[in-house]
Amino acid sequence: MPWLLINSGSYLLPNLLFERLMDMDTLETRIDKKTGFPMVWVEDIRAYIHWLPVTKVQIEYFLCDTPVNKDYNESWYNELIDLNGRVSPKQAKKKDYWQLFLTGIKPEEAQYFAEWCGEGYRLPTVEEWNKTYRIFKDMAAVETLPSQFHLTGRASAIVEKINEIGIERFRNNPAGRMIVDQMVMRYGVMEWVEVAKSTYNWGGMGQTDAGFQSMIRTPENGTPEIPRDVKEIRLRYYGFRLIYQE
Amino acid sequence: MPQPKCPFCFDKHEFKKSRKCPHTFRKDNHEENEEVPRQFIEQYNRVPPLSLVTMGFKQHGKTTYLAALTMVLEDLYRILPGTTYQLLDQYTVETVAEMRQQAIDGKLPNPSEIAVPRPLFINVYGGHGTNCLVLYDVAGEIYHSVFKSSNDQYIQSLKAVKNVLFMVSLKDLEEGGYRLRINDLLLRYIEGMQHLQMPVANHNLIVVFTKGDKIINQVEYGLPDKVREHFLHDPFQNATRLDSPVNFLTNFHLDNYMAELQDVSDQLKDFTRRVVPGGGAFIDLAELNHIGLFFTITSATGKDPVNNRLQEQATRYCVLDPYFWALRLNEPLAVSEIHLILDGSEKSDSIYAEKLLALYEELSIYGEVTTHYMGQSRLVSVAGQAPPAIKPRVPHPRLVGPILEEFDDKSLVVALSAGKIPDLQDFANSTWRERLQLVAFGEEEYQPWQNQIVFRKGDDLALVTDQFRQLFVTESSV
Repeated sequence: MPWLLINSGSYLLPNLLFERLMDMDTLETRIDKKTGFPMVWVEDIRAYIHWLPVTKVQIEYFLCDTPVNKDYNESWYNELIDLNGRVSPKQAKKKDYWQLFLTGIKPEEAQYFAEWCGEGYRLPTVEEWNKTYRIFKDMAAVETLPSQFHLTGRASAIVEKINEIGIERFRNNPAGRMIVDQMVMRYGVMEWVEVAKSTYNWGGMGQTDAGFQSMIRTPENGTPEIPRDVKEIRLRYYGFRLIYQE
Repeated sequence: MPQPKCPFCFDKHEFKKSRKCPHTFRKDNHEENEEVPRQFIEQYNRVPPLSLVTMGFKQHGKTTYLAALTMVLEDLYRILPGTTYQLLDQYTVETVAEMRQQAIDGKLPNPSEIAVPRPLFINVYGGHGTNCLVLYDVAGEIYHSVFKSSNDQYIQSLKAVKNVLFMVSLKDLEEGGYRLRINDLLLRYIEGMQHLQMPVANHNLIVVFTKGDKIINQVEYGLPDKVREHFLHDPFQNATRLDSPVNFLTNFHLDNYMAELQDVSDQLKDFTRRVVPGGGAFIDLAELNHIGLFFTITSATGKDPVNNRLQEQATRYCVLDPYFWALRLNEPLAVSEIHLILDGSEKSDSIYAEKLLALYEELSIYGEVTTHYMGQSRLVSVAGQAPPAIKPRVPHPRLVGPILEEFDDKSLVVALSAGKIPDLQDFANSTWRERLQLVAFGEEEYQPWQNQIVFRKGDDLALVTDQFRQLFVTESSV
């Protein structure tokens, strides 16, 4: 298992945050074998979670690997692309980076993708998502961290690009940039989570970038958004990330 | 370990079971198969083959040159310490012994008969390079007229080599009244390769001006001073003259020597264009076909044989120069992996309406072709299998990324698409920019891409293969 050293670099951190950082001076990581994208270990949920919401590139691996069937074919993918266009990793900018992520997907479809990823992959529960968020929202972003994942190809290009856009976005933000921002758990897309007590079993956590979809809610209070008719309609700003438990 | 290519039939066999070529029979016993020497197979990696094929008109000195080359290599230890030599099979032992005896007896070697040439196998070990020299001496008669299919069997060896010894006696061309010219020989080569369905692009001709002693001091030829100086001061000229003391070339560096040979080659090229009848056409035709030209001048006998007698103790000028060029240019001729990626989406009918089979056959000339549908990682046709004639039953998304990422960094791709490929731009800043030929079926481009042609209804598929050829040449020369 690779371990990433979190180096606070030249950041001026509030004492409490710095102590937290020092307490947890390493991050355990793994690479999702099917798509080559990184995941980080979250001790509080005893699982790995994708560093970023699932991207279009990852879904494309799935589409090319899966025997073609009536459910996941050209028209299915075109429908999703029509909702949120596709941008190439190196061309993504602050005004369109959410096009890197796959959105418009239904929870059941995301589950099918998780099954394809292999045993142990699934969508997080709302509790798991919240615990992850709380841990990483108090940890300052580490600019060099993505380069330490040792990724290759398009996974590397996307992780680096998102990091680069994040740095630009938070340059003049006095609140500073946190690891949740690096992971795009806010200012990205809404993410499907399992909500056991809801009518449809599914809800959304996270916060979209205003350029993509205006919304008032934030993930701070830990309450999921419960959209209606999730089985019938596609929500253009809903994506997902997976967790992995052995 | 790469699987050895059979030096008789130029295919790959399973040599673990038998060293006999299942496709080639011995000349002296038509019921027995030719056998590849044990060392050739066992030392294939350590002593890689350096195959040389001669091309030249009859009586232009091909066989005499090869005889001189074997003799100089045999005695090279006198000048380059540490150089040694091993004949790998009985046929080679007998042939070389015969050449030596002919030299002692003062006879010129017998011209090659019109037959499928049986190679000589000679391992040469030394600081300048260690190789298994595989020599094919093709009879000159077959190059005297337009190529016929019946001659294919004699030039099969051209398939095995990237570098050809292109042997021309300028004096003999002159004495023949230039009825045959140097560019005629090149035309024969190109025709021959077309018969063999082999590309000529990226192949090299090592032009050997034979019988150099006859022209080196002839004022009317006006050879450049640099060439004369190199020729007359060849450090290996006395290698076979056991009556003449020679010095060890302890400071011999092939790189330095090659720099001099390059200089000589440049001067001879200029000389060929200016002085040799048909020389300009020869050079232009070669360049047009992306054939590399390297010029040398040699004399296998040192002087005109007296009464048709070769002298054993002859001074042989620059006999090693073509060999050194071959060594330097002997990068393996990689069989490129070529991938045809076909649009398999709902609106891809226009692609399958074209003659895909013809395109596949054209591409197969350049390497092994496999076929994919876009949006499907697994192959739809393996190497040697024609592409599908119809689009897939269930439409595939137009995606190429997961497919491209499976290929190695030397592969070449031809992608045929009737619409925009969403993920192609992900590779715009990668080496795929030079290795992927996009063919947009329709009236205009669907997306930006450097190597792209728009293929409209009624266009000739040769458009695609011509473009691909450029890609192939560029990539192969990197």
